[in-house]
Amino acid sequence: MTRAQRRWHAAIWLLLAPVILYLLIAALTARPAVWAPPSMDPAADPGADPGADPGAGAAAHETADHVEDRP
Amino acid sequence: MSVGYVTVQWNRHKRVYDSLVGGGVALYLALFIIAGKTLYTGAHAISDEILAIRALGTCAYLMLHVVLCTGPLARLDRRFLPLLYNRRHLGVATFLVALAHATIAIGFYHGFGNVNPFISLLTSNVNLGSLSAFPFQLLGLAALLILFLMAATSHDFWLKNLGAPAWKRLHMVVYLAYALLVLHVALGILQTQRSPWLAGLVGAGVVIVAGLHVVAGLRERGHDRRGAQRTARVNGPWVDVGCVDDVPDRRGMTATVGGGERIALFRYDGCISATTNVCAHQGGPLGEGRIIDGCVTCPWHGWQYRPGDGQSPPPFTERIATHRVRVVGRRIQVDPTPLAPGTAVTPARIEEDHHG
Repeated sequence: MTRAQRRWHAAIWLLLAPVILYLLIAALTARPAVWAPPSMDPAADPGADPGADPGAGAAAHETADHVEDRP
Repeated sequence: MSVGYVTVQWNRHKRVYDSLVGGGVALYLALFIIAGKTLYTGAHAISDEILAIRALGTCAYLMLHVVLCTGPLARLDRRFLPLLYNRRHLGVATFLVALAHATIAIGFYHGFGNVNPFISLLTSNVNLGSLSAFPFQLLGLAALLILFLMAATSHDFWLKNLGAPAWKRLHMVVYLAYALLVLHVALGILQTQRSPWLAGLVGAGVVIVAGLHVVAGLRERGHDRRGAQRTARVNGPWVDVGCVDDVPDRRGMTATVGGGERIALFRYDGCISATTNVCAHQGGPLGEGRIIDGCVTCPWHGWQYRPGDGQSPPPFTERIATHRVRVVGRRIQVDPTPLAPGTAVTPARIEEDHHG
């Protein structure tokens, strides 16, 4: 190869490799997770009370169980 | 090299190589499909069409890696030169396997609607702003078109009519095709196949291809620098480039003078001749070649030139630049200004009575 072609090859790969790797990592991290935590978006659960404490339902359920366990 | 154009330049070596490539592709496809049928059964079974799409796609992807790695590997180690000699056929085979992958994929995913499959391919997914839902098939289509351009111009007709520098620049577009294919895979199959091994293999492929090119480039630069340090200007235009004993008989040696192209030096029949190091065919390093049948023979594709005048032996018409050369004692001195391609230069005779 000519001197110019050798330089072009090295320069292209020095520039191209980080770009390809960056886009590859961006594509992999953009994947939706297989296991996703429960959505905190009120729009995802139309029946939910938007002003309610997210933990309130679970707490109330625990209280009800506790009450039922009472003799 | 040939006088006229033929559809495919086959010789015994290329027939053996092509048979190995054809057999290797068939074996890979068979093993992939058998493994897919064996490993995924019941509710996880994969249809024949999808297995064929994946087998052909991964095969073409692997073949492209081999094509891209061949150049730097041949520069790093001479044992890979046979791969370089046959690279053109492997490149065309890669395109054909990729075409088969695309044909089945377009037919399977876009062929059963009431819209033309190509219209469906171009219009069914327009999520250009989303990475996870990006129309990755369009990236594959763009890469396939580039591979078609490469395969269609992989012929001496185009090499001759475009000229070696323009042809070489055109074929460097294959690097863009590779980048598009990495994204085609990353935004396609890797979005649903969660195996870290698969993602790791794709990343490793990029690192290997890019790493080999960079390492080969750095080695060439080091070679140029060391070569430039060995040379020393003597009187007039003459530059001392080494000792005649550094050049093996019937072989070549390269010398780097200033910022110019490398000069190839050849020792044969008690003489030294100097030509440019750049082969007129695809820029192969002539100085790493040998003298065969009295001609300088390029190590890449076997193109030949007479060392005394840089002309290919009849009936061939290719010509390369020559350099004036002389031997003073045991030292070789060359004039770094290249002469017009095909200019005859009297070879410098080595005074053998000084030897040993």
